[in-house]
Amino acid sequence: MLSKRNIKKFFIITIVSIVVFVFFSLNFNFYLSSLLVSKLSYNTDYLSNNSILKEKVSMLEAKIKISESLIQENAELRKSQDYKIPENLRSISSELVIVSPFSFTSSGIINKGSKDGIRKGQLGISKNGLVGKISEVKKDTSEIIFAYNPNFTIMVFVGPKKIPGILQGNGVSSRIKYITTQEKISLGDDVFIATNTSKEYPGIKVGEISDIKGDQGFFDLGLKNLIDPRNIKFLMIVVND
Amino acid sequence: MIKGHLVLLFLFGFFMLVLPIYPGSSTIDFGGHVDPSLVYLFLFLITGTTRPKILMAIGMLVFYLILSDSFAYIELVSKLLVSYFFIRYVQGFFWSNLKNDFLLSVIFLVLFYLLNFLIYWISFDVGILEFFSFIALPLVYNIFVSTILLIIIKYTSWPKVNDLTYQS
Repeated sequence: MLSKRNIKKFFIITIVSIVVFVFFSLNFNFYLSSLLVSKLSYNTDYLSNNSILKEKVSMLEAKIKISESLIQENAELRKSQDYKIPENLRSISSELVIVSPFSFTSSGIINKGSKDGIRKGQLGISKNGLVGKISEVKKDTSEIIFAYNPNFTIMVFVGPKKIPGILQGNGVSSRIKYITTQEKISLGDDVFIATNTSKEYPGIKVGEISDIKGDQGFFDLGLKNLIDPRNIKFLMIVVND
Repeated sequence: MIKGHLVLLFLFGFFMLVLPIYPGSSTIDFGGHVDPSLVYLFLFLITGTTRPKILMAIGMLVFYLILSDSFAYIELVSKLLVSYFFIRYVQGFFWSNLKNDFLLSVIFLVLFYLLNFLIYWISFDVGILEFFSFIALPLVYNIFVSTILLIIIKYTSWPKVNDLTYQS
């Protein structure tokens, strides 16, 4: 019969082992396998052919693992390229390399900058929807503020009549404001990103109206189907020339 | 040996600080649901508040602040305020054991989210349901990660047995 102390110890060791195992199986096994095989494996002259063959097999297995990860990354990139954006828009593929770890005011850094044609105010979208807006541009990198950041604002069109409004972040979500209560808005109306002229109307869907509040002559509209940008890896920056 | 140990500790601390900023690094971010600064701040507080630890915590917060935009100052102030309140009015009233430390982690996080709800409700008219749907998953993940790290750091050690100076 195990004592209480031993049970506690066993429980703690099990939890720690699971965490360590998950962590290593997710990351380091893949990276270290080839290094371990090439640098740290034990070589001996005894049965050298056998050991050389074993080493080669391990090397090939490591290469297969690397190829598999590349295939997966390619598939992910292809998916993001499949996202249909209107023909009159040009986009630049980029990768979200750093995400600010704060809860409410999150922003990120992408691996494209002014030398790639990125400019302040351009929008970032992924295959699932709107990610955010470029807020600062450097030569090689740019900062993107996510759609729920309080600094985020863009113009949108609501519903089939394309009623213009402002989509604004409030720290936890994005809401549409500055549409007068005289306009007819209903639940489930589609929301699209807008530009100044109807010719350039890009037709990129942001979400659907989920709740409607009216206050002091203006609507305060909630959106559903907004994405969580902290999870994404690849995104496209819309270059609206 | 001690020097080597310190170097290892420094490296571990450095990677724990830097790695969570990379999306998909599979460290403690859990798909962006965990706020590492909040978890580390709680760990600093729960393992005893000394001057070097307070300085390290502030340094960590400032490092993460650099990666955020201007509104992050609000969050920084709220984190510091909650930490002060937590040390001054909450922490001293609990015995130090695993169950109470878990309870303290819940209190710390609830206090932080409550204060932020008040701030965002006053500043941006955020609704309670909207706020709750945003923090529900992060709250659970933050408690989960804090507890696991707490067990690893505070409650996993070799049994302390004093050397006998006589033959029994």
